[in-house]
Amino acid sequence: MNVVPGGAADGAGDAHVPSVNLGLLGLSVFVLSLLLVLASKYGRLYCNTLCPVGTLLGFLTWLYTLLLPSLSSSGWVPENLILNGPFGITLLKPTELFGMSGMDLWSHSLFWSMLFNIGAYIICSILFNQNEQERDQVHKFIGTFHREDAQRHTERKRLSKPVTTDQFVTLMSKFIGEAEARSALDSYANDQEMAKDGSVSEFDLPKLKRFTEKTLAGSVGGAAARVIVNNFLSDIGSSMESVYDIFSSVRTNLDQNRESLFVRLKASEIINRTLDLHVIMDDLLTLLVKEFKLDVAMVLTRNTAGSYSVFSIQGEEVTGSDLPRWYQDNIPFIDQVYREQKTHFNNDLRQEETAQSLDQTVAEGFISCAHIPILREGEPVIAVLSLLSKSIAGLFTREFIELLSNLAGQLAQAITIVHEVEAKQVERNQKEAALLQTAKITRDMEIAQQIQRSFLPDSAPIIAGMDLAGRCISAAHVGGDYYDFILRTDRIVDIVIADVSGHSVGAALVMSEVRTLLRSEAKSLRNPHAILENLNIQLYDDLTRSELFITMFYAKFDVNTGELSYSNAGHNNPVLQRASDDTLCQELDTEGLILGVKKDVLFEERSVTLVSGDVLLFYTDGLTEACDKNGNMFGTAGVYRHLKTCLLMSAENIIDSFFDTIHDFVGSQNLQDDISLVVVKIL
Amino acid sequence: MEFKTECSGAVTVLFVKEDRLDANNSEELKVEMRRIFDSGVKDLVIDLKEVLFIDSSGLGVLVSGYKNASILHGSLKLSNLQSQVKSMFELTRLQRVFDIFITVDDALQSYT
Repeated sequence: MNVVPGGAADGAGDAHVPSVNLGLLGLSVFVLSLLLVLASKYGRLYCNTLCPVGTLLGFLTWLYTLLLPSLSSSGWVPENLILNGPFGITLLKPTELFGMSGMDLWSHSLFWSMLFNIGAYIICSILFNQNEQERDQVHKFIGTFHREDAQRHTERKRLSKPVTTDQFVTLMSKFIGEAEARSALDSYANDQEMAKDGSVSEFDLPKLKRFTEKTLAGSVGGAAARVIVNNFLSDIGSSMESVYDIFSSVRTNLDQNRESLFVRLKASEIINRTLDLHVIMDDLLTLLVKEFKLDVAMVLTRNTAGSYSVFSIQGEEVTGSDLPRWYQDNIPFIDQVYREQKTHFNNDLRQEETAQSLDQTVAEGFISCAHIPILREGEPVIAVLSLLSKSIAGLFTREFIELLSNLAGQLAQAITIVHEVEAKQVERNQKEAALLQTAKITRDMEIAQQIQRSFLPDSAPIIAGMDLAGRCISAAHVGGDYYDFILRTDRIVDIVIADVSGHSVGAALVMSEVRTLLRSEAKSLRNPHAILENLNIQLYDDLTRSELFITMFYAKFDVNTGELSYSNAGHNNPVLQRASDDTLCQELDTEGLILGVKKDVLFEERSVTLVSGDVLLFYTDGLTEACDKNGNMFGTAGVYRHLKTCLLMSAENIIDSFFDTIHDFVGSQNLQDDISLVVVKIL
Repeated sequence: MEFKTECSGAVTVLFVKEDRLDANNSEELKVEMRRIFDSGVKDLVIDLKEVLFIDSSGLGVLVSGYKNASILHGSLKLSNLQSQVKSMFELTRLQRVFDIFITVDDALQSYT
């Protein structure tokens, strides 16, 4: 058939023309179809809407600009429509659309058809996005132009339901015969070193699927093979789904997700149920293993030496707190987690470089792992939560890691609380121990005080011509004060005041010894200096052993003569206030030494004659060393000053007066030492 | 209780860095002296320059230190006694027992 351009214009009514026209019509349809295919291939813009719209618009334009004039020339359409346009609108003339003239009928028609077709196609592409299914569709058709190898190593999809190799064989048998199918699969299995039992690891399934598709493509063509395999899979309830979809349970919005909420709820139940960290960890790890199909979950802690021990583990038996042997090659990553306080995870351990550094873990069959730091915001890492899976690559999605980090945070909080509770318990125990200890010491003190009290005379003896009184007030710490009146005859009385250093049961016991010795010494009728010398010798060894010493003032008073003979062993000097001269205070002192320092000590003895109205005050250091709130001591000056004011009082009242004064002086302060006072007033 | 210990030849000088030597802290001085004697030191000088107050407990500790030194055939000497401390030593006549020096150097001199 000879096609002459412009032939339609010249040869209207020619019997051959319609057939030529029909040929050209067919050619233009072919060009349009080719256009569509090419645009789809290179543009990858296929979309549900744009395909029909583009085609329809192009086809309508073709009908209007080419078919209509052709039919008109055959007399089937009013000629007026062609010459003047519909309704007399010249712009819509089928042969000169939108005023385009000067082109022959074919070029004109082809131009407008292509313009509408491509224009609609592009506009729709921009206006409407492809949905997933459409992308798939595009991939099925358009991917046929690409080699499969390009995508081999990026596995982002998995089969939602496990499929056995037998099922693939069954599928292929329908198209290429069973024997062929078997041998094809066997050769594939040999290449891939697959298990003969027909079970296929999840990771291998996509590859096997592609292999099936390729095998079928040989018989039915690539696109058809894909459709067949996908239909087959969807029939048995399995389909390719995004790997990340398997954890739709932990996906996107944690708060809204039911399963994630369930895990978090369970976790917080576990954490709040007990304060036993081992129980908490065990239960939590069990929960994770169960809910997320993990193979090993453990919590590791690092000691000060930098080595790790297993605090809790699920899914693997370990003895003691040793790490599983295969786990050792993960240690550098745990170090990193401790150092950077960030989660480390690996979704495919079989990748070449990872496989080398984690060869033991990989050999053990693990294919993904995550190590999550257990820490509180802004604080150092307490422990690491380590999770490993043997079955699921790509398990640790961002959302899953977020959930795990959240759980780790809760765990850190729980650990901190437990530690605080434990610290409080320890503190409480210590306090109780301290209280017990204090109670014991207090008890000791009470015993010492009771002993001491029992040695002090209940009351002073009543002797004509003299007024005698003595009293001891105890401080918070029991002192070693001692005083005694020993009647030699009804006219002669020995007055002794002493202070055993140290505040203890030991001091009280020494005092009891002193008392016994004194009582027997006094009966010996010896003079004060001799009594002190003897006492010093007898007490020396015991005092040395107990690291104590005694200060003592020993006086003997004869009421008949008024003579007071005395000896001092380093005790505070008694103060004599004469009635005759109230300006003069006299201290009674002799040479000597405190008892218990040296064995052979000579004590001087002196005597003084007391007359009516004279007052003699014996005291212990608690009186002069009593402090006011500013730390000032009452001192000997205070003693003199006060003694002058109470010359006219009875002995008992003088003591009352002193104690009142001391109480006023110390105010709210506690007395640091016992105060003993003995007053002798000559009547 | 705060101390400072210095060695001068075979003699150890123990500076008591407290203003009170009483029932509340004298036990610590006792422990410290025992430690020094246990370490093999026989001659000890205790400097009381900073001690403004001493009570019978403080005296007791010094006395037991003195006795321990005597048992070891060593000595315990004192230096820098402040007025209250000095009067306590006079009252108890312990100034006759102890060798008491005005300064540490004087005390160390006595050993040469």
